[in-house]
Amino acid sequence: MMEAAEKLPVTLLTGYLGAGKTTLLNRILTGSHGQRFAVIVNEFGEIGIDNDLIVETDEEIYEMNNGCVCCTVRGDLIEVLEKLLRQPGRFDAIVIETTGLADPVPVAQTFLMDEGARAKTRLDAVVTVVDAKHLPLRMKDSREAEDQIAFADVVLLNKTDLVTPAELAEVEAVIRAVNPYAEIHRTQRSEIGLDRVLDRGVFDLQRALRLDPAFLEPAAENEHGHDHDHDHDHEGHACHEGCDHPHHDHRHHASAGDGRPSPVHDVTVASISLRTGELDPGKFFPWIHALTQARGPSILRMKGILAFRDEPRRYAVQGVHMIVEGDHQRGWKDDEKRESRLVFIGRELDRDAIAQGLESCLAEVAAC
Amino acid sequence: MLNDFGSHCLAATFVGGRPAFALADGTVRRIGGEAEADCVRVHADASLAAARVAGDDALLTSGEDGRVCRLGASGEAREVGAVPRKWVTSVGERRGRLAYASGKTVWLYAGGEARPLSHPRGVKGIAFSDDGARLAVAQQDAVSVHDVDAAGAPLELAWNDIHVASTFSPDGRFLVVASQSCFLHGWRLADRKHFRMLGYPGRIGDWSWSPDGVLLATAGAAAAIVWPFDGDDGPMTRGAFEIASREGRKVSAVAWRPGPARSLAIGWDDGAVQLASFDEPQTARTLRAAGRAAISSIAWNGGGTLLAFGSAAGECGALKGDA
Repeated sequence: MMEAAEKLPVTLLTGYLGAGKTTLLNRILTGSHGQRFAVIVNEFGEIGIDNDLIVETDEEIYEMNNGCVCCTVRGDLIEVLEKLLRQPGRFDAIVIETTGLADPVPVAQTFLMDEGARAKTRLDAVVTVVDAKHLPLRMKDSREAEDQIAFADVVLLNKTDLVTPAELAEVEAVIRAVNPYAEIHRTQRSEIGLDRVLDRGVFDLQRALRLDPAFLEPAAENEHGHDHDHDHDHEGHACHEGCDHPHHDHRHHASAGDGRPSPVHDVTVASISLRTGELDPGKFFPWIHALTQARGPSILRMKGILAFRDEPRRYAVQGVHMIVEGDHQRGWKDDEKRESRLVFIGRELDRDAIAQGLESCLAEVAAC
Repeated sequence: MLNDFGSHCLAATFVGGRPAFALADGTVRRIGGEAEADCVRVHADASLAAARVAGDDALLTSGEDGRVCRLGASGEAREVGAVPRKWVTSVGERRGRLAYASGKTVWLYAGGEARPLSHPRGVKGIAFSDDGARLAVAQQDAVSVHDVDAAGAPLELAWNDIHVASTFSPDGRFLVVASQSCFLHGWRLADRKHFRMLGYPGRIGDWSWSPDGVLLATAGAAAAIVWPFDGDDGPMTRGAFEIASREGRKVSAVAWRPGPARSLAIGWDDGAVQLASFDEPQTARTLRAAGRAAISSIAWNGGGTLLAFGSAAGECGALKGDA
């Protein structure tokens, strides 16, 4: 088994047509001197760099034949990767640019499910470019725009020069409402330090944990450098099937810190952040398995760091829809509170039921 | 004879009587004979597919440079097709008919002009029938079977999977298809009755028809899995045979030895190469000990005296069958 560090990093670029994806891609290719990239695109656009390889492929989504409607992979990508990986050392990194309407999930799941891709590559980060001016409109007319943000590790809030400061703040609040955990960078013409988008190591579980970034902290909290422990019991909301009220409320914005409701009434994705004590693995694994089997289609991403009773190491989990992976990590530090944190980003998630379910996995308190 | 060419071997074969190896780095190497190993660069950066030309002394390759090349006995490579700026990902030739694929299109040459054959999905593998009259095109969710000598809609065999390769039984009655999943799918073409061949832990990767045409040996499991295709029903009513099992390892390449003896060369994922007999399936003779990487291709010369092998790391050579 290769170490995660030796695996070829893969950056997934998503974003609507015109948001600035290709501009960012060109910046990556021209700005990374000495690095050789293989770039997988749906169509040759205005890209062309001497040392890099541009591969054109049709986005072919395949529903796995396992009875799970959300287990989708990109069959074309599996074939392209297999061919690229025959010559180790030829490339330093792979960048996949999806079409504007693409769902990022099949790409991510390809890296979680395909044996060959798992063995030789690691999904480094999902980078989503959004257009500050047109995002509100996009969010109204498409679910994909929202999914791309929900799935992002890094969001480039681009074309900030085309909006007023007030509009910009509102758009950023919308992004935060959908995904409190992504890093947001405000940019013009996709101009950004490449270290902000490449080699982030946020998607690969082992690597994310080794580097130990603030894996589960809402990004706004990180940025402000203070740890407010409030409101974790109030984030997210319970919602019944078919409800038509706007799927946002002020409580999401506890993370963003502005406390104002989103002006966009089309946000259907919400996040739930749960925090509890030490868990019994004998209860937790059957529960998370049952939950993801039953609610998988609604869960876009899931991440967690867990404390198991009598286990000296932290346990990290992450998932996409029904696929859950997890592993032990470094030991708990002496001054660290042994607690379990679990974050879900998805649609129509029943916060109370999930919270109750997690609480039911608590280890029995030993009699003293 | 062992050579380390340092690049994934796509196909090991014999051209002009010499062991020849198509490598992923865009070269073809030939060893043996009087000369030093020679190297022909057939594609600029990378070869994507390579296929032996059955019944002829040649090797076909296709590359990232959009070219299709044919290397003949003289050792010269000739361009026989091109799709500018595109990857050509599969090639095949049989009885003078040539085909290659890029994206959703297959270009077919059968006595004259190229005929482009469009498909709804990206083409992942092509295969001619032994008589060259039919061409099977594997795609996601379907295999299209074209009549090579007549224009018209192909026979569509639908099945929900990502099909990557196909092979006709030598008598042309059955079509077997490999996918990204861990089983094979088959059709009896006369009535399109279909069947699955199960029991593999992962992708199948390689296969070989016995010289008498009735046994299909397959890679992908801890033994070579051999399916019977004689009788009306082929493997539909019968199970598979196992040859030469090794616990914890996986067969990565198979090749039946020419001749009546039903003897099978087996390449393993640890680089070992063995020779076993259908009649004594549990006794395998080791021709090569483990190496650095999985055997990616093996092939016999016409007389069955020499076995060419290549690995995923570029270790290539030829082994005597009767050493």
